Amino acid sequence: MIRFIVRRLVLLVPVFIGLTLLVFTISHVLPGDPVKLAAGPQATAEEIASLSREFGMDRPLPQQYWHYATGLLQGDWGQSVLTRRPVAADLKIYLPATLELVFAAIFLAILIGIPAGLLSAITANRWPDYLTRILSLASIAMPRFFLALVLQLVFAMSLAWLPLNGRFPIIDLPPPAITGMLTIDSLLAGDWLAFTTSCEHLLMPALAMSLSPLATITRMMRASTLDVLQQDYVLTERALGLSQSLIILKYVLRNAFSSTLTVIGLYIGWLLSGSVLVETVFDWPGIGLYATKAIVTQDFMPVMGVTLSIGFIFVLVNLVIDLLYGVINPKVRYQ
Amino acid sequence: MTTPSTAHPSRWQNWQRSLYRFRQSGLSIAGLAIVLVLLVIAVGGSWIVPFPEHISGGINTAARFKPPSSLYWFGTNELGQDVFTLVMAGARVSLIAGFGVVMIAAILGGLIGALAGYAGGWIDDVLMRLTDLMLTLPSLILAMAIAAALGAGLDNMVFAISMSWWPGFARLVRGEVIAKKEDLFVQAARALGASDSRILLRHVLPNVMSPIIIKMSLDMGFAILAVAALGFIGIGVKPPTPEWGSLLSLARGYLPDYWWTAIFPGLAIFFAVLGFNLLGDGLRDLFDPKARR
Amino acid sequence: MALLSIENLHLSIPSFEGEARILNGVDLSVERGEICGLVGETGCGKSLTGLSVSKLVPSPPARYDQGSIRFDGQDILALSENAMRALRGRRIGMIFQDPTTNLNPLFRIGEQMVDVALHSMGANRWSGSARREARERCIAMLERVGIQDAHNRLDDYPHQFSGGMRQRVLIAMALIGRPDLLIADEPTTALDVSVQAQILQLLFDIVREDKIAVLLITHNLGVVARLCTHVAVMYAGRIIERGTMADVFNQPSHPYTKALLAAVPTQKTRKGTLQGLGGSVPDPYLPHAGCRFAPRCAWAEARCGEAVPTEADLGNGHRVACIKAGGTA
Repeated sequence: MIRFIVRRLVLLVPVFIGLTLLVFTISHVLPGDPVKLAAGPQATAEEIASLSREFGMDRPLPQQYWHYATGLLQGDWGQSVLTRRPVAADLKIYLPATLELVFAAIFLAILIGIPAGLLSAITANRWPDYLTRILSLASIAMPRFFLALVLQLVFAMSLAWLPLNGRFPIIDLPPPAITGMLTIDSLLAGDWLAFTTSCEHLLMPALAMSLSPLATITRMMRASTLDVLQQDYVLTERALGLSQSLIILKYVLRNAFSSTLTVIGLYIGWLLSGSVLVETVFDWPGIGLYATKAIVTQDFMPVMGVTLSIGFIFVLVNLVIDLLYGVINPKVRYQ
Repeated sequence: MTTPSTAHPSRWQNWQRSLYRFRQSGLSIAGLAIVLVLLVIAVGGSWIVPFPEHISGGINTAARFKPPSSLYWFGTNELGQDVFTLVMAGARVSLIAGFGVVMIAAILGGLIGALAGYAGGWIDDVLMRLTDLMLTLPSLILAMAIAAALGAGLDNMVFAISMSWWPGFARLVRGEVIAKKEDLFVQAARALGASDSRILLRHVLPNVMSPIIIKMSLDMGFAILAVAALGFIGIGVKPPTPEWGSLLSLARGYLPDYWWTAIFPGLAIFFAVLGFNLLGDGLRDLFDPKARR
Repeated sequence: MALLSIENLHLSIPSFEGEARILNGVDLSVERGEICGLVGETGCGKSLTGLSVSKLVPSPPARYDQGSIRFDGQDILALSENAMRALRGRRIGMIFQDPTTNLNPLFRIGEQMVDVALHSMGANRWSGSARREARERCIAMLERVGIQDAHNRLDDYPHQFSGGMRQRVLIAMALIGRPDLLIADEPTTALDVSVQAQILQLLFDIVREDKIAVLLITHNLGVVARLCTHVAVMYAGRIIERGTMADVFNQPSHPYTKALLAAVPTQKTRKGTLQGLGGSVPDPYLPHAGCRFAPRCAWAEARCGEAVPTEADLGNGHRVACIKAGGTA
């Protein structure tokens, strides 16, 4: 088992190198001159040239890449040309905000999706199944940003049950930042009020984000559960008298679950990538908004930083999922 | 009544059975209906809308923010433009853009995948590594970056999105090509002296069309969603293009009082995506019933 | 009274292609301590007969149009699912053909077996002492079926066992509840020939020791010859001949039985003279009249196509469903 983990960790290195190379290449292939933009319309040629030197943009590309890659390892993720602040510092603020949102969305999706998929399969082709399938189809087609707006319209603007936007009320004191995720930090600090407040703020954006993965997880669980129910070992379990609920909740659940694991990994990457769509609506200060502003002003470094972070996180998440596969399926472990 | 033995149902019987299932599937029919309606609207364009002048930027300040009524079915926006007209016009934009994305992605990804699958060896390794790396990159951010760099405009946006879309097709086609590579008819062509490119283009590719088309139809809905997403962010669409996402974005500031400016464009996106998804599912079941669910 | 008594059982399953009449009047009985072999070609309905005894055939869509199944006097078809669960694993045990697919690959065999043991004990799943006892019983049973180091093997996964060992585990699981009836559906077919004999011997020993009645479903006459005290021959959903081993094998009276036995090569069979049986198994979707074997029967007459022959009693429980043997049309 340890060998399995170590082997997978070692394979990460070339992937990370490949990612940095790819991101660097793409950012330099795209048209646009961030230095000119940062210097402003009034800048003279000398000013632009000196700014270019300052950011190291005048050196040959391979050298720029080497400088960049080594810098990454040392924690220097470049400077934002626009804000003149280190990208690493910016990421430290914005990344946990988005991660909190994404994890909350996935948590909701799993919490509701897995039982829904099981139920759908058990009641196959009866009305609970049909209802679930129709809701799933509708959920996948629903644009996150539209759902976010509708939720905001109904629950914040009309009913005033939930806060309109943001992560936390400006006037209140947030818990001390340990992970950067307000919900976890509140729990760690034992601050129950802060926890409920941050949950209230988290609910609508997380809900908007969770609908699509929820629907897909439901569909996958349904499919794999139906498949598992046909297996010989389920017949044996029934033939030897085990109750239907035991069979479903203990055995079938574990067998059917592995297909959804992959989907969960993919969705974490997808949600991280598209987080701006929900962040915009709720003024959630995450990497989505950060990257978008950087893109519009053609600020290389933040965009690269965000892209790389998401790429890295995605790869790590998939690694964790592979490990979870090993936990669930002993055959994978003993290879 | 005797029923025939079902030892080997012919292809025609299989096809009939699939079509029967398609017809029986209310959802697939609903999808087909929605898509047909969208096509009609898209083709009809300015001829079928009540206020065609609003599409190209005409405004009517006297009729600002009118709620839905018999004259303005979806109400009017901040410029007095008929929301119904704009939403109808948006159908053409979304359909063309969505189709463009899927088409470019299929061609580009298909070629790369076919090359990788057929050539094998180091070419396959390199191309697949590249494809996998592309897949780990955040697709929306990549598309936004490319679109922003290229400048505003629908065609730039379509190109940008398809740049993040092709890896899926590359993987699919590679798998299919590898499966077909060792088939007898390919070996026969090779034995007869046909060049590799000829084999690839004339023999292998036509036989992998079916899964490609299935994926294209399944992806169409999500491509429309991606176009709307970029429009919502504001990257890539020049005003006054009546793109649903950008209409939604503009309407944000007028909530909750003038809700109709946002609800109808949003619903349009939803129904378009839903329709294509349902149709795509139905087509997939039709062409490849083994791949159900 | 027989432990298991199936009378005139009819089973049909509707599907896209039509309605398949799988069982067309099955008559079968198994007494305590008997080992009854249910033989027939693939597709004749023997597996579904076995599944029916434990009410494991999903119905709907399947329908039992006629007939009854009685286990120790109880009418199986009328029992609720809960009542059936009380029988399964406790009074009726089952083993199936493929040991590879009949164990859940993601769970240790101990987990699976302990659950079965707990059920057979009727014990509370959440009780620690019950679990401990269940575990002890599992270890004892595993040792009895010939698995060494059972104590540790309980914590292994199915893929860590060989095919023969897995079948032993499944046998242990089926018998841990000390059932009165064991239904074994092709228990050795998927095993290596060398292992088959061992497993058969194991089964034989245990059922003899514990006086367990067995319904052994197989298409292999050799297996029947080794193990069984009684045999029932099935064709197209009907039992066409049944009786003790001696009676049926030495005096086969139904043309199908005769053909089956003649087809088995012996040392005396000359090279190149294998005796097959022409024709093929009838289509369950096609309705029919009369004896279903008639189209392939060398002794068929016009009467055979008129009505289904009833069973003729040749004495000592030897029954044959054929006009030629004395059955009426």
